[in-house]
Amino acid sequence: MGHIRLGPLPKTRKWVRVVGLIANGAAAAQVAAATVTAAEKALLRAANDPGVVESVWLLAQLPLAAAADEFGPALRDRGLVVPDEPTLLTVIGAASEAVDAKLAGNRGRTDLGEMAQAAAAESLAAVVGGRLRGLFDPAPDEVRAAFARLGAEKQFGHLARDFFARFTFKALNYFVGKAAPGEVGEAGRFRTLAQLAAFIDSLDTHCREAAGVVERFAGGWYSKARFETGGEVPRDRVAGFVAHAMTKLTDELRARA
Amino acid sequence: MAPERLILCGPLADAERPGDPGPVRLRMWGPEAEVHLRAEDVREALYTDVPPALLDLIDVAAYVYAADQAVVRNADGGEYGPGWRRNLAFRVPVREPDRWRSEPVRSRLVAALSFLSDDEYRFEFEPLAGGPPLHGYLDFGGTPFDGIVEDVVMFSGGLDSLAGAVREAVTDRRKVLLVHHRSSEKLTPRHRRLLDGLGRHAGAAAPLHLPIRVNKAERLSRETTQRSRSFLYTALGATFAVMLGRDKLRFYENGVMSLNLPPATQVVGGRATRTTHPLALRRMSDLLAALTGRPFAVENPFLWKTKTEVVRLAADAGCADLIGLTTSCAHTRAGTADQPHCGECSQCVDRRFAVLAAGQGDHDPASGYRVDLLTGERPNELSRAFLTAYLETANQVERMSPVDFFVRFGEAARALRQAGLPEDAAGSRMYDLYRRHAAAVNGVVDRAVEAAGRGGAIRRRELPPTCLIRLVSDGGPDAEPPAEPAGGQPADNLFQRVGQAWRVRFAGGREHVLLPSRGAAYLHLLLSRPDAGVPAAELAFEVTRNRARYALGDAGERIDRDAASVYRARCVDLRADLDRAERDNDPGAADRARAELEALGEELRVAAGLGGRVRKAADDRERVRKAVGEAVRRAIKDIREFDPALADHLAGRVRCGRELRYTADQGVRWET
Repeated sequence: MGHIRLGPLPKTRKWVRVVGLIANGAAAAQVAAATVTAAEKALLRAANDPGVVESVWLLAQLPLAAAADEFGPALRDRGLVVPDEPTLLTVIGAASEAVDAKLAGNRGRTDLGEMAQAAAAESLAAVVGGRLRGLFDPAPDEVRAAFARLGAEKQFGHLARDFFARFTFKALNYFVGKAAPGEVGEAGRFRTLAQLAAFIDSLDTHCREAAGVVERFAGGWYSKARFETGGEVPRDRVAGFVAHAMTKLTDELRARA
Repeated sequence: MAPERLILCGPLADAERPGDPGPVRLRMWGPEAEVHLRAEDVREALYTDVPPALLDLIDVAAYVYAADQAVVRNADGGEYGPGWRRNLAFRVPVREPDRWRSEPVRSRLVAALSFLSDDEYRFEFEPLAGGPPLHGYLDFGGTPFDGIVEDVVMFSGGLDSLAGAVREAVTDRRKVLLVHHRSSEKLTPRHRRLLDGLGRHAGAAAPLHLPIRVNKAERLSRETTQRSRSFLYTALGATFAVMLGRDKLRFYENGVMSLNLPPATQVVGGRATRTTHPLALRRMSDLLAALTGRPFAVENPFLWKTKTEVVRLAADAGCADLIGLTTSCAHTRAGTADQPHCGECSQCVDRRFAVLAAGQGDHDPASGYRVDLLTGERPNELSRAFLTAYLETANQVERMSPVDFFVRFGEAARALRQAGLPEDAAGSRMYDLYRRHAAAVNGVVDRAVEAAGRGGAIRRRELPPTCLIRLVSDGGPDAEPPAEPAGGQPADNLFQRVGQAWRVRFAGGREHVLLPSRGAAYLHLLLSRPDAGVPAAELAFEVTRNRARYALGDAGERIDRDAASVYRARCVDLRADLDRAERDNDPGAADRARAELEALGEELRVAAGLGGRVRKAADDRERVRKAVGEAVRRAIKDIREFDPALADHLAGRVRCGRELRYTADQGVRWET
């Protein structure tokens, strides 16, 4: 038991180029741009991916629920099975479960969707968890207030940036991580694990910087969507938002090579 | 979505769509049976009244297990996993079709399987007429069984299941039935010694043992991931448990492996097995409850223990002598009696760390591993990839706060609600579990590095370059420069060879890597000679004769057809040089041209003798001109992907043709 399956990169010209850049010492920014070029079609499918759209839709729902009269029931109205006064980990667990329920039986499940689901949980832990005095068993009012703050234009932009930074990093490192460990060792680019870790950190930082392009419009989009739809943010609007964000992000990553 | 694969099972395999090669056909009994189940050593009488629903469950599980191996997962290519997930449609004959068609049973079956194997499932259930009873295809031996089984426990023969059996039979003195998958005859003597040893330690509470074998026709063994295997063994174990009047089935697996949070970004979904993931166990429990009409629990009592703690538990119970008889390796076929462990797969790495961290290395000697965890060379990239991810995860987790942990492992969200605790309590225990695991792993690494340093092995560079100790030891005196290009004050405009590629920088911007190509080499030559016209043949000749210098590798001694064209084109230029030198009465230049012509002529004669086709020199010059221009334009296109400004600059200032020229911009000076 306990097998973990790892795989190599394809041998096509674009992927051979990515491997070559890693092996020859290219900076994370250039590797990221080459990876975006190689995986662009797959990346841009995110807007049509039910797992990605559902994850972002749930992120957009949480501040709305926190602004309602009763947080727990408002979350339940949105498909999250939670008690009346949920903690952050309750919400994170329920959100993940809600995505799984949406993709019951793996219908519509993709790796992009899986990565978005994990990125959403991580963003909530980072953005909301970072504002709590303690992660475990926080005061209910504190949790609700932290979620409610995300409804402000600037704060939602911050959450969106965090999510898309994580999602993009995962999506790029999904491929880069298949090639880079092969370069660890005396004959490779990374003589030690520390050097490999530094490179992966650079890739993460690069994605975070590039995701600033999403932060610049996400808050405005959120406010407008709520205004135009009477306070709700429907899934089709979220899909459009994801499409726009991914186009902007891939362009930005290429421009920052 | 992957195209649907139809799986026709049992009698339907012969009755439906005969001659159509599309469906996978699986038969479990009769002369053409391809899937065989065999259980041994438990008295047959115990199972005379197995309910039809459980017989059906075993059938369904066996068909799923066989199909899991018969339908391959495809390579992902450059996509996000479309080849990994399969779309499997089963048509299965069962004894109680109405029960299986009912919503709770069907949906729970799909929920359990889809989480375990990451595939899509669709089931159609047909009535089964005349299926054999359990003992029709489970062949029971005749060992007397006189005890009372208190619980049924799955037993793999690995470390965790040994510790579970030790806890049940040795520590708690409980009489349990160990249901054991006998995966390979090769391991039978080891397992027998292990069970004999366990029986000696347990005395009167010696566990009963039920080995089960599943044999398949060779044609069904195409896919090795076998994510549904545990479903089959759960079905069998649960059947025995129900028949013995029990309402639970136990797996023993350490929590880190059970949760199996992905150690690397590429490990998405079921690529990290979910055999004993709390959600998998819950979904199997739900299915069994729906099938049997009463609560049933599939549980893992080791969920909050690390593997190191599990090993200690066995040792503390006085059973350390059994550790060396357990087998954890994924590659049992390649193992030998002396070296049953490869030392490279995830199970071997995890096992070895736990044994060393628990101070039980003497009971599981390093000689039993083909690759030593700490000092063994790892030329295999995937082996290195797993080890690096495993070590880096432990390294990071040790320094994480609780928030950091959940920020790093979004996948943990799936387990928060499945552990039978409130989410915050489960989260807190999960965090503690991983921290203890990380401390154990890092402790082994630190002690090994310290010992190697103390003994001078690191300083003397005696250890293989890809061994763990070398990989985690930060650079010695001759360490390479940092991975990211940095340092000093590089020129604003740079086009320099570094390693097997080119470092390129324009107008003081970011430095990039340009991968080797003929075009890159031509550009380098042109930038090195600004404003000078260079004949295409001369450029091509220079690069062809010095492939290694331009990072194009070694073409070997024999010149190839393209090179021959370049040489012939160069000959034309040299003859013109010779004519000119003779006209100008320049004997030095004439001698140089003559000598080069002779050398080239000799190489071309050798090439022609080897089958080279004679081509007119004029054709060669034109061909070389076109090829050089094309190569330069391709290189500029490559540059455009990372530095459009430089690409524009070069496109505007490099003139191609019979003679190429880079016209320098005022103030742009290239360091080459």
